[in-house]
Amino acid sequence: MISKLPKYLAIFSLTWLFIISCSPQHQQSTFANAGPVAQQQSNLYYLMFWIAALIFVLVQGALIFALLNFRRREKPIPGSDFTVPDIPPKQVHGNTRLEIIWTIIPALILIVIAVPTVQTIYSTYEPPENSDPLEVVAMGHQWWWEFRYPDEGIVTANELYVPTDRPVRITLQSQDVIHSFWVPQVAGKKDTVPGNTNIMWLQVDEPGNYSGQCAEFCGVAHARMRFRVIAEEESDFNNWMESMKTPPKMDTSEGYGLFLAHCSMCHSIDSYNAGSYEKELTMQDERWDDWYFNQEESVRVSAPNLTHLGIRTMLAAGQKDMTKENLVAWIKDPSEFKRGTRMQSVASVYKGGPAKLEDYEIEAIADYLLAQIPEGWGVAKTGGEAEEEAEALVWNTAEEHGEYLFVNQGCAGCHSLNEDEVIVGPSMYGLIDRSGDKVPNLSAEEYIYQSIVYPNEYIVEGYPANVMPQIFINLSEEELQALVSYLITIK
Amino acid sequence: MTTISYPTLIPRPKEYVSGVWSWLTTVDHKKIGTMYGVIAFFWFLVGGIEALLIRIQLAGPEGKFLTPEVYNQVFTMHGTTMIFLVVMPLSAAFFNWMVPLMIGARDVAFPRLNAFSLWAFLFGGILLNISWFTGEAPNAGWFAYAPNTEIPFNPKNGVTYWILGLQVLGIASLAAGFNFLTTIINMRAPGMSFMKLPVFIWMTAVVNVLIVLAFPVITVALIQLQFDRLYGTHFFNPVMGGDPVMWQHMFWLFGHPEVYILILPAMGIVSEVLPTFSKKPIFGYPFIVFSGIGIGFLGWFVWSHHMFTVGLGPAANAAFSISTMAIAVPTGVKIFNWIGTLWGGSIKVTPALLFSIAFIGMFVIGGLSGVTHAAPPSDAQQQDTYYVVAHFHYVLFGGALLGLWSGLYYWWPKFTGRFLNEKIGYLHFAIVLIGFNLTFFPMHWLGLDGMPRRIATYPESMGWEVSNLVASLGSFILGFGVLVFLYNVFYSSKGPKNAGNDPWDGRTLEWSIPSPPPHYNFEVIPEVKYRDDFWYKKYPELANDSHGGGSGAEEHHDSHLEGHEEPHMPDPSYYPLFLGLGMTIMVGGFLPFTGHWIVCGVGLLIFTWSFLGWCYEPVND
Repeated sequence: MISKLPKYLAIFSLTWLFIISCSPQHQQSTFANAGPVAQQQSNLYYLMFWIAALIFVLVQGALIFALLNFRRREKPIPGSDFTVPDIPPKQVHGNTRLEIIWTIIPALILIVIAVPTVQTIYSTYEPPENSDPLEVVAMGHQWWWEFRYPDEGIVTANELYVPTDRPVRITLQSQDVIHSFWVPQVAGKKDTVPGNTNIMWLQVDEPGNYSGQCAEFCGVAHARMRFRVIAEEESDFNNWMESMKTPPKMDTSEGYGLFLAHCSMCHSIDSYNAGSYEKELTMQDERWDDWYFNQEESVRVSAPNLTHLGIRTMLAAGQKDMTKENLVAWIKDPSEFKRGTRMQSVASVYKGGPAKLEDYEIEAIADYLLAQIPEGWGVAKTGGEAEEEAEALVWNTAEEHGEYLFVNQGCAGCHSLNEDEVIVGPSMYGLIDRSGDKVPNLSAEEYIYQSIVYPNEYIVEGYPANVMPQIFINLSEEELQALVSYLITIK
Repeated sequence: MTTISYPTLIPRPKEYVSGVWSWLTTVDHKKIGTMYGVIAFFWFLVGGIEALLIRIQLAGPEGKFLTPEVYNQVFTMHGTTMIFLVVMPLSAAFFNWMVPLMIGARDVAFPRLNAFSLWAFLFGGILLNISWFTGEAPNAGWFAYAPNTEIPFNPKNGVTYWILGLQVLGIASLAAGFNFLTTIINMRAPGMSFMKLPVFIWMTAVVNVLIVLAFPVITVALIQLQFDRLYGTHFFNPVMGGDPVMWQHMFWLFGHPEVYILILPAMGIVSEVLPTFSKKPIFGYPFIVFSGIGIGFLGWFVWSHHMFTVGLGPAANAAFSISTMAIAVPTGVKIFNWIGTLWGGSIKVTPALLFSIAFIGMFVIGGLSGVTHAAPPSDAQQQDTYYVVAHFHYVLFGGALLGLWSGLYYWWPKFTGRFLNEKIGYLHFAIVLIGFNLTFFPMHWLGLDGMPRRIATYPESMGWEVSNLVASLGSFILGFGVLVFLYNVFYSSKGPKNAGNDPWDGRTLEWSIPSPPPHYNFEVIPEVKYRDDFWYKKYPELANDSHGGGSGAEEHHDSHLEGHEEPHMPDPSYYPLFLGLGMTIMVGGFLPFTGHWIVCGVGLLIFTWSFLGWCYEPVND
């Protein structure tokens, strides 16, 4: 039975081959190649695998043959008179010719491997010449992916849209620690190193979703740092790019205000506007610096851009399908899906625990987020009931309108109405009494008005810049006046 | 001659005090080797439990057994423990026991330094593991890539424990490295020229050259990291202009030679076991020796193959790819020569031989998978996946540990005078080999199927469930195999002391003396005429001047002892223990806890007192 061992070894390795060849349905299989880069990498592996398989069989076969054949035996092997007695055999010390042979043959085999290796190193390094690659920046963050299209001015997160049959040149960067960008079916990995810029390229043959994952250990939620490459035909891809620059149907439901109050310090949601690309880059840097240099007190940190979240397929960096149920659960207690996420440790609405929001408030935020769909993009996932309700509202006085806006626009998330209570920004209590003499030539009302429209110009001492969203300039004149007239009544 | 008197607080222990102090003060290389082995085996059990925790967590998708925070600590400590507290000191146990015995010496060159290495290793391991009880164990992987190790990302003390623990362990390794090198160079028996050295001694020499050259690199990197974390420098912090890739270069410039530090001792053991049980000399001795040296030398030119995906550029990747592939040549030469040694032999099958055969078989698998990630484009799909985990476990478990077990079965009779039970040995061998392959073979597949390393869990629907479950079951079989070995040690310690001097018809000098050897090893320092000298003394008719390392040495008479008195051996000493303790307390005092400078100062006091006491220690009459 033992003498059949070489046969078992052969069966063993063939079984492994069988498993390998039967697996393309697995979403991160390195053999289910979906593009030329992965294909070239696989080809090199196949070459080495077959050579290795041959060497494996020969060496293990020789080893087992030697062990069985030259085993010391008391009795002759049945059917032969061959014995290996318990006396010293011929004392062979070596054979120079054999040594030379088994030095040179492996060296030659390695040359056979090394030549295509070096060729493939260069051919998989940069996109082919004379191609017109799409330029993309992939930023690794703890623990999500930011994708930028610098030529188009688009920023998105965790889902990288690419056209099929066109090379994509990816510039890899990181803001925090080292990550690694890996979409096994499409291309081997490359690291995103803070302080360095790497490049890689990939190309996808067929439309579809390709699963990717951070491959370099990057801390607590390393296992949860997944993403998707979504490949589309050129025309569909162009359509996506246009849509990303189209505003969603405006939604002023309660969820909007709650989002502004609790989420907007870290998450941008309006990056469809012209010029918003540069703004988002600056904002991400500022959010990051704010956290990095003052971890104890910072209330913000760089975070995924949520523009048009409604068209994403997954949430929390590829953890769950994008459904309302999952989104509510994620907002409620992020560590359920992704332990360690900074959202929970940094944002003041969490302070390390579950969200300090009522269930209906979380649902409102989820509704608002899922409604972030560019106009003209397929069918909206949620209805517009909230909107209709909002339109029906009527206010008797400007103050009443202002009070509504104070909550609806999220001001109440950061500004308390109680004396000396600081949530994030200064309390609004007694605002009228201290606003008049802040800036010469500005009355209290004018000062409050200007602070809402241009928050960074009027930072109160002791509070950080850039925390308050700079989006209230978009409110109508009537709304701004209503807000001011409400604010001066708080005493 | 007047002796300088130094106010020692404790007198030098008299020779051969009994009980615990005989172990704590010993400078006998055999006792030190035993303690290395026992302590390393304890850590092997700890590291093994850590491995089982990992496998429980990954047995199914969405594992909730460990939180990701704890998982990260467990895999970091599993790697650190197995490398620095298990494989290296187990090898050191063999160096300690076998180097003097195989070169015909009575002890190592610096017996007290040898004891100091042991105690530094013990206390360093304890310092590293105290972190479990002070909030957080190291959690950044055994490779500790910056900037994940920097304070903003890793504010607790785990990584600082890792730095300081490794510094102490590094000092232990460096002291031992110099000691063994000096021993091998200076204390060989008369006539034992370098080309007559047993292969195990050659590999020990290469390993210790690597230790002496590689550990300073990690020492510098660790100091830089320590300064980054504790004193506000930014060597590896990109936000302040530092370079995290520099850490990787320094770590792997140490880390790759470290790989050969781990595997070459086992290769040396196999090169002793195979000839003995084949009753043939090692095939191609000079080729085996020089391929070992070649591996050690080339090992310095391949470190960036750990960094193919870091973005060093195509030229660097191509260069390091070719240098890495080049290492396959001397490795292949070794494997072919081992098979050549078996070929035409009279092979006696024993557990020791089977472990050596399995070493070759498993190491070949690890070596072949290694070639597939020597090619950077192929490695881009394998780097940081379970394929690499499979690869290095085939090399480090299937290679190093099976080789070390082979050595244990082979030399156990010499260590204790008793055999390890052969039947239990076969059982141990079979269970370990099956469990090992069940655990690690599916990991090849998992990696190629896209499963990254160091993930605390994985989602359903990835297709990884079956392979992970098999690996987890295998790991428990493997764990059971280790228990069988422990049982064998226990069972065999009750057996008769019937091994005799030369139970295997051995070839090298250690088999010429009693088992266990007397504390002075050789009553008469042997004179060496041939490679495998003892063999040719037993079988003079086989001696052939054209082979086996040439003709004899000059006659030396001065090494004979007059009247066969017991040779005078180095006296025991308290100072190595206290020097190691003081140093570890001093280094541990750098941890930023309240009053840590006081602890550091206490350590410095003990260290200084022991150091001076060591220097002025008198010799017992």
